[in-house]
Order: sequence, then structure tokens, then C-alpha cells
Amino acid sequence: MGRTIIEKILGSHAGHEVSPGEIVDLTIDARVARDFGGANVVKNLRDNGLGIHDPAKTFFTFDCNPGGSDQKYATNQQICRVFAREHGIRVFDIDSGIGTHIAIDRGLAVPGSTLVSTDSHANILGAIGAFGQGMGDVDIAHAFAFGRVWFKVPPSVKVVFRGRPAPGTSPKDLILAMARVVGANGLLGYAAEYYGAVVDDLDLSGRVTMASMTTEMGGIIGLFPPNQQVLDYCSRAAGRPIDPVLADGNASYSRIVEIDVEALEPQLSRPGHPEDVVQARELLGTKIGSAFIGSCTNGRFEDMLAAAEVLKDRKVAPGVVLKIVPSTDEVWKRCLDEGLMKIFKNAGALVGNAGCAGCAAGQIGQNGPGEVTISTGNRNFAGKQGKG
Amino acid sequence: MYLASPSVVAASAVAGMIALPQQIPESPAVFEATIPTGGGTTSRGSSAVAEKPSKIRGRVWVVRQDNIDTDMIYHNRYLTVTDIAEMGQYTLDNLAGWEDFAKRAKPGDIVVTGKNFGAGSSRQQAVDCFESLGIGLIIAESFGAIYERNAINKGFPIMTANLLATGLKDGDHIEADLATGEVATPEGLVKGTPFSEVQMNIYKKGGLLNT
Repeated sequence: MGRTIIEKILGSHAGHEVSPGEIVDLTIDARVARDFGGANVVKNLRDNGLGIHDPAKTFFTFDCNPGGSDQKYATNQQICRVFAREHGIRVFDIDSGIGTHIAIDRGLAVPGSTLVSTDSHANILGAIGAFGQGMGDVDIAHAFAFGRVWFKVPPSVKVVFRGRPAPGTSPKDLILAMARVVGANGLLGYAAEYYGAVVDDLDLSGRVTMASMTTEMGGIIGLFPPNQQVLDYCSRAAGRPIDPVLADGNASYSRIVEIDVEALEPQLSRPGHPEDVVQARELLGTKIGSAFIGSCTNGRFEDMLAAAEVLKDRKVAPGVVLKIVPSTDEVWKRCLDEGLMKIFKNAGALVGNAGCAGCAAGQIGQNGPGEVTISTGNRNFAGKQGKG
Repeated sequence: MYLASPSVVAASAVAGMIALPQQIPESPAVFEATIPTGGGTTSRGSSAVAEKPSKIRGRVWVVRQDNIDTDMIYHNRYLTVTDIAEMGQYTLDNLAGWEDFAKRAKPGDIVVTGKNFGAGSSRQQAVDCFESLGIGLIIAESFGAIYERNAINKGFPIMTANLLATGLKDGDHIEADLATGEVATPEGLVKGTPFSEVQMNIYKKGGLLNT
């Protein structure tokens, strides 16, 4: 019988063929903890007298609070640093950016590989056809100490995007449209695979956007079969040729979901629930107090470019604060080199250190009670980025 | 919080309202002021203040140290606290030897200390935390300039007098006359600086902003 992408990746890391529902012992290629959860991982390891299975496959990524501006975060960061020095573990410190993006850009994760992190959006690695999963600190401590975790093989859903969106729409609009169709738990417990001409043509950045919001539909992961551009990118990042893991033609899916995106227009998710999506044109003219561009969903260079095209020779409205946070320091530097920073600053935007920004109550991007914000983030639960 | 694509968010930031990149209006939406200008009292009006005593008597805590800064009094990790009721528990918890002050102090107690008390930051909480605990009075040889204003403006009684030169110890009882600057101690009368007219007025009306 044919295999889906998730079945192939998990099978190759379990050492045997796997089926949905089966619990397998999974080898993890990259084991990551952040400044969120990382200190607890260290505590778990210390309290239980556990060592590090393979320091070369173990990483800390400080992305929740890259400013180190919060003393509790600063304390946890230092706990992780000291532990990392003791064990020879690499730390991507507060000057680096979002861990999952670094994993892609530095080749810590490649198509077909496995990564776990204390990041509920670690499944963003579906963008490159890799397995990524967010886990709690006990799980991650186990991965640090033993290099593997147990995992239940999820059933697969095939999602096919039909049609061509209208000009001016973006990958964010595709995934918001999907969230509207399938709802907040439409993918609960499933691994999705994304297909369709519009998906095949997406660049890495667009795939990252869509993969990241799979979480908001309850999905274990949303996997994209890598195209040549993604393979080239990941091969360069890893310094070796990478082969994709693709589904067999006769793979078995629990469900096939079709999303009609013909002539799709810009979408907008209303406050409170990511899946509460309407046509943006229905809410034109709604007064806003602040705007945020960044996050693991829309913080890559292509996202910055899309924003810069609109902001060029324009000013942010009086009384509105626009916060821009590139996902990684590499993106930040490229924005500087290619003139985007000048556009942002001339427009009057605030630009922050690379990182997760407002999500996880991190650095920039918080709002106060009653503040109306429009954001490129992935979640808008009440209180997610402050009180507004 | 609304979620949208980078270009829609950028267009909305420019427009001051939700907008599409190809339809950004000529002039942005702005917030219009809704309260008449001119400052002063708008709606709340003055609140009644109980008669403030001009003599304060209480049990003392002698903090025999100069240059106690605002991070020792009220550490910056608590700066986001806005409810005065919550502030008391953190008072002096970053000052060596005084970490448990909040647990030991009782309402009406008086803090006696040395030079330049409240040096450092402008945080009002370094005053408010004492008010939160019900501390009756702080007497220092001198105060940090901003701290002094913060206390006066809050209507929280502070007085300048050199009591450390006396043999005053924890648990002694003293009585300070805010109008004359005289402090009666078990060691005898110490002459401090009386409240200025401004300080007394603000103190009596319960704070600078209490109109």
C-alpha cells in the first residue's frame, strides 16, 4: 500500500513501516528548546540526572524575548546558556531570530528530517516537507537525553487548492480561506498535505506562512511536497544534496478536502478566533490603532518586501503605531542591504530585533485594553498579544 | 486583533483603518479628540479626605544605611504593577537584610534612615509601596530629589531629620510634628525640617491631584 509523506518520514525515523494510529519510537534529528520552556527542560534534565544524547543535534533558540527585556526571560535564558556551555550545545542567542526559521535557513531541518521544539509552531517545518512538532518540556528533555520521543502516527488529510486567486492576494489569504472552510479543529489530530497548482508554485516564504497556520486548524502538521526551489534552498543550507520525501501515488488519506480559491480576494480574520474569516472588503474603513508585521507566519524577507511595496513613499497614519519585526537577523540585514529599512523608517514604523515579537508575550507587538490591531500573526485569541 | 497579509496590514497602517493596498485613501483616518481641552478637572471631582494629623506617632524601623536606591526599595521587576494594594508586599525586598520587611512592618510604623533615601529612578511605586503597607511616615537625613517630590505630591508624609546620630533602635516609639519639624525620641528632642507650606497643603488635601 502507498504511503503518505508523514508515514514515510516517521517510518524512516522509526526504522520500520508505520501505519496511522500506531505509536512509534521516533529518532529526532534536531532537538530544540527555546527561552520559553528551555529552563524547564534544563531543570527536568538536572532533577533526573540526565545527560545530553548528542550535543551536535541539540540546540537552544532564544526567540520569545530577544530583547532580554523581561527579567524572568533573562533568567531562563541564562540558565539555558550555562547548561549549554557545560554540555557543548549550540545556542542561537537573543541576536538570532525565530528558531524554526533558523532551523530551515541553517539546515538544522531538511526535507524528510525530524525536529522537536518547545514551540507550538514547530510544525512550520511542514513548509519544507520535514516533520516538526511542538512539545512540552518533559518531552523535549527526553529528546535531549535520549534523542528520541514516542509519537502516534497521525492519519493524513489531502488538501487540494483549486483555482487561481485574484491578483493582490497572498499565501496568508489562502490559509485564512482554508481556516474559514475547515474551522478551528478541522484538522485536529491529522497531518495535512497541501496540493494544487497554486500551492506548487509557492515560494518557501509562502509555504512557511501556510504551514504555520496549520496549528490554528488543530493540525499536527501541514506538509508541502518540496518543489525544486525549496530543495535547492535546503540543499544549500545543509551543504549537501537533499532528496524530497513525497507521497506515493496510491497513498491512503482519511479525507480529501478541496478549497476553492478561484478569484480569491484578500481575507481578514476577525478578533478572537483565527478561523473567523471574512472578505477584507467587508470591513474596509474599520479604525485601527496599531499594526504589526512579522511573526513566524509572516516575518520572512518576501513578507517584508510586500509590506515595503505598500509603505514606499507613504507614511503611517497619525496616531497609529506600525511595528515591524523580521523573523531572523538574516532577514533584518537583507532588509537593511536592500533599502527596506529606509522605507520602513521613512514611513514612521518601529522596527524591532528579529524574533517572535508579540506572540508568547514577548517583545514588541503587545497591545493594551481596547486597542484595535491588525496583524500578520497567526493567532488572535483574546489576550494573545496583550489585552487588546 | 485582526489577522491579514503583510500588504493588507501595511495598507491599513497607512490608512489608519482596514484598507486594501490598491485602495488607500488620500487622507488617513485619525482619532478625533472627544474631551474638551483646557485640562483641569473633567468629571471625577474631588474626593473627601479624612483630616490628616499634623503629629505622627509610631514604632520605628531604623534602616541604618545611606543611598538606598529605588531598586532596593521597589525593584524594577515589579514596575508593571499598577494596583497600590499589590505593591506593599515587595517593599525593600531587594535591600540586603530587609527582604522580609513587608511581613514584619505594621500599619502606622515609621521608617528612619540616612542620606539620599530613594536615589535613582523616578518610579512612584517606591513611595506607593510604603503607602500600601500603611507606613505612617518616613524620616531620612535627606531624600533623592525625585523621590522627595514623588512623596510630597502623593501626600505621603516624609520628613528630613538626622535621627541616625541618636541611639534610636528598632521598636522605639517616636512622635514627629510635621509643622515644627520636631521629633520626640526616647533620646530626646531632635530638630528636623518642618513641612513647607506646599508640602503641608498637598498632604492635607490628600495628594497633588486631589482637587
